[in-house]
Amino acid sequence: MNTRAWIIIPVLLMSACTQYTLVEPQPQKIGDFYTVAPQIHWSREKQGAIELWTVDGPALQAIRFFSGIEDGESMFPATGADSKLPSYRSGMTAIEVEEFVIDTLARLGGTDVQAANLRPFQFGRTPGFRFEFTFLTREGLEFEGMAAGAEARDRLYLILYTGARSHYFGKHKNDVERIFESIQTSA
Amino acid sequence: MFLRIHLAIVVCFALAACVTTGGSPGAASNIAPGERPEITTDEAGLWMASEDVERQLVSSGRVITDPALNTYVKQIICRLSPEYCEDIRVYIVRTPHFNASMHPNGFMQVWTGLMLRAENEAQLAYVLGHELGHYLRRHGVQQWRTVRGTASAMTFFRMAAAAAGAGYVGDIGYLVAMGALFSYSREFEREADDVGFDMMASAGYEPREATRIWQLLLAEKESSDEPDQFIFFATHPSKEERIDTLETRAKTIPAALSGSDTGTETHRAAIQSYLSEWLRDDLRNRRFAPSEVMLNRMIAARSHVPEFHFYLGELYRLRGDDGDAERAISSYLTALEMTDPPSDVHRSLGLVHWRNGRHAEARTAFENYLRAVPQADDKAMIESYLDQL
Repeated sequence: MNTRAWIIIPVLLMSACTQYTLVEPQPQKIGDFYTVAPQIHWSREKQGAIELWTVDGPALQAIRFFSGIEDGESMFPATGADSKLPSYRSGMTAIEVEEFVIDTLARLGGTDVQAANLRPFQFGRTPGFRFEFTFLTREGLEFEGMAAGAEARDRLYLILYTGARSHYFGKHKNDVERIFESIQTSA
Repeated sequence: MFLRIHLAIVVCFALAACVTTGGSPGAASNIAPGERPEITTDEAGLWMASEDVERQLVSSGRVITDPALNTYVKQIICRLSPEYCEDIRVYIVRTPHFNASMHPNGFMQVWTGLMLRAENEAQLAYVLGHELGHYLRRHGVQQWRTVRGTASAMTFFRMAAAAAGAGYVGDIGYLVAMGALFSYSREFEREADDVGFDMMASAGYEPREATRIWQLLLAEKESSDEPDQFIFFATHPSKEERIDTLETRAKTIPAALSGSDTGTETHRAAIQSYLSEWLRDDLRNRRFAPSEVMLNRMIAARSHVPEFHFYLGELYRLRGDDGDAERAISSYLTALEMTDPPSDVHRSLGLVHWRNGRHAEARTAFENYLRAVPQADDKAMIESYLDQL
């Protein structure tokens, strides 16, 4: 399964033969830089360097943990035709990271992708940022999202939560807020 | 990735092939105004498949419903072919590539990348006339009958999908597949060229603009390190000879038929409120070389438009090659000298200065941004930058 296609082919994602494991409501280490403490059970799928958690299925809502996007890398693995996905450059400001995320979503098929309310955010002990966003899927379904991230060790650490505006985004929005608040970074 | 829509279309074609009785390979008569195919014919099956695609496009969220913009495009269609005006349904699709396409049932897609790049109404009219030519000459059903005679529906589907979807990112391929299911033969393309050309000339548009739009698109293609990514060329096989043919034809148009109306101001006014959105969409393709050609062409034509300078600056900021920081700053400063520049110019200028260690200039630019947009959505972030500078 091509991980980059999570927005535009949610139906295929639902039917994919993915292996999910249970996430217990206790601190979870994401990569080698940060931990988060969920307060409910989630289902987890590893997608390379991306860890995906969901309750109702990724087509309806999902939180994605990026465990360090390096300089020159895109958010999702590039295949031949995808070589023009935006690339992360170390040293990007939060404004540029927001642009990087939004342009990536648009390139992957999101329509009318809009970001809002970019603001400073303490990503554990690292100064970072937060913002919200909205987009339409190929089928015209409205999605909402929120992002938190920070640059450390010349890498971008990012958490994205997305869900269908109708019910599913709001259903676990507060759970994700608590996850954001629980971020602990290593030294 | 595009399995669902493809399968739906294949099933429709397969059904049509199985249950219909009419139709045979070879030339077909022009479709008459208001004509609908008999329900028992293969053409009716083709229309049914197209209607399914049309419904999916309408619900995609990509269709721009602005009445003024739609009226602008529709009046071109009606000016080109008054007798078919009621038969054609136009959808303006927000997709940053140069393309338009026509389905056999009279639904036409016009992509915003085409509307952005067309310099005037005459150029847009030529492309729309070309697409109308496919409809009037029933190229869709002819293509279908020809292929059906020698191959299965699945083979036809594979050919169309290969021509349409290969190599395009995201649902661009999906949209291409929707629009380019009928990748026409050179003969059909030539015929559509002729129809489009005759229509625009008869409607009083300046016929030399047909050549011009091909030339400007070729210039973008030649600048690109990925020429295969030009969808219109992929689905509309074209060579430089096409330009020569159109130039030759333009010279043969009788003076009585040849108008001098380019509709330049009309076109500019029609798309003015979308300029920023469509230019931003274009940069999201990250195909900097053709975008640079396009923006420099726009600046050469209208150097007083601040959006062109701003987005050229944005291109340089995003590309980040050697010297691009200075180019970006120069473009931003040019934009700021003009009337009503986008307020984001200040913010972008601040970012480039900051990245290059010019803290005082960055501070000034960010302060100017907050002065221009006191309630900026990202005010808290900018204020945190000012604290760091």
